Amino acid sequence: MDSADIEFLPARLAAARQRSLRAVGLAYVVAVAAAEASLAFANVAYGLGAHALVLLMLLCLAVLAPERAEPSAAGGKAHLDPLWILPVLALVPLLRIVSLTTPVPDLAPIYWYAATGAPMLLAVGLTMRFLGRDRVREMTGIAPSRMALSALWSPVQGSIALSGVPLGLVAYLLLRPEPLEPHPGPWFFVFGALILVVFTGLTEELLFRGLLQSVFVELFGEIGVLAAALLFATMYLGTHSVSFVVFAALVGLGFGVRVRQTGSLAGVILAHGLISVELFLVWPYVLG
Amino acid sequence: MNSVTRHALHAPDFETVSNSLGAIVVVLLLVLLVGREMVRTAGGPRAGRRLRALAIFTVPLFLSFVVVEAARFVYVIF
Repeated sequence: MDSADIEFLPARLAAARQRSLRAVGLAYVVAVAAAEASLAFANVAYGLGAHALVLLMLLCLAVLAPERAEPSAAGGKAHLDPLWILPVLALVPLLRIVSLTTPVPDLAPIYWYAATGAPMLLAVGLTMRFLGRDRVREMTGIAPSRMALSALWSPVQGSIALSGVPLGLVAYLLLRPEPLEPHPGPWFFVFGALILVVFTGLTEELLFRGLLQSVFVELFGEIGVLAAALLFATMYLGTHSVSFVVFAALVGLGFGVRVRQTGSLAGVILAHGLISVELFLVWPYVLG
Repeated sequence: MNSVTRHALHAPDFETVSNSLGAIVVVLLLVLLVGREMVRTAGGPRAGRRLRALAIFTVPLFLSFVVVEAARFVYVIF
């Protein structure tokens, strides 16, 4: 090995690390999709076991990853460190594990969203704290201030948020879910809307469009937006509705593109919340 | 949460399904907690960051465990 080889060694190591992480990313997408397919069409326990295995393998890889040089020395970016990337990927298996095991039959279904959403919001918050404010901004291109609802006053974010209204109706027509509560009172709608906006809109958008999409774009380039949307759609295989899964993929892709264009999550968070509110709290009582 | 959850909860063999799923999650939580202790014991310059990475998963899983057990406890008591 001559001096020129030694000079380029950090860059080669960084490139090799990125290739390895890409392979892990691809295997991860396939494994999560297979686990979701197993949940939806085969055996719930096998599917959950597969998710638990994916989560454990990602965390083992993250924790056992060798020490790396500082980014400037390695010629790469700080967030290509497996210890930063792999825990973000492991949030999706955690979402499914929590959403399958936390609901209890004695609780009204609307509160299931809070019971499963609270641990996931906590996990997303811990992840963002773990990554740090600067790294979140570096990975997502999104300043925390631009996630604030004040951003909705901008015409672009407001229009993205309002797109949730027609999309909510389309979602209902495709899925036609039963009403969550046969004889709801006014507080059911107030608390229900709050629960759905916070625990589906906020949590899932922070996870899929905020963290996961950023990691996929880092690994695969702009095609990562499509990968994140497809992974988002596989989470709806359990609906057993091809049209709804396609709808979820298209909505995920549209939201992902808008987040990349605007650098803000505010609009898609509210749009996702509106879709959920209409799907479960509005149209089943109006059109059902 | 989707129809898989609803079907599992409303299935006639819910107790069986619930026990299988609960066992998987309890084992997962135990493995993660053992992993945390191993990382803590091993130490090293990045031990703090590794522990924080594992806490992202142990804390929410433990919270879910507490919620489920509390709900079952309340159900048994009342």
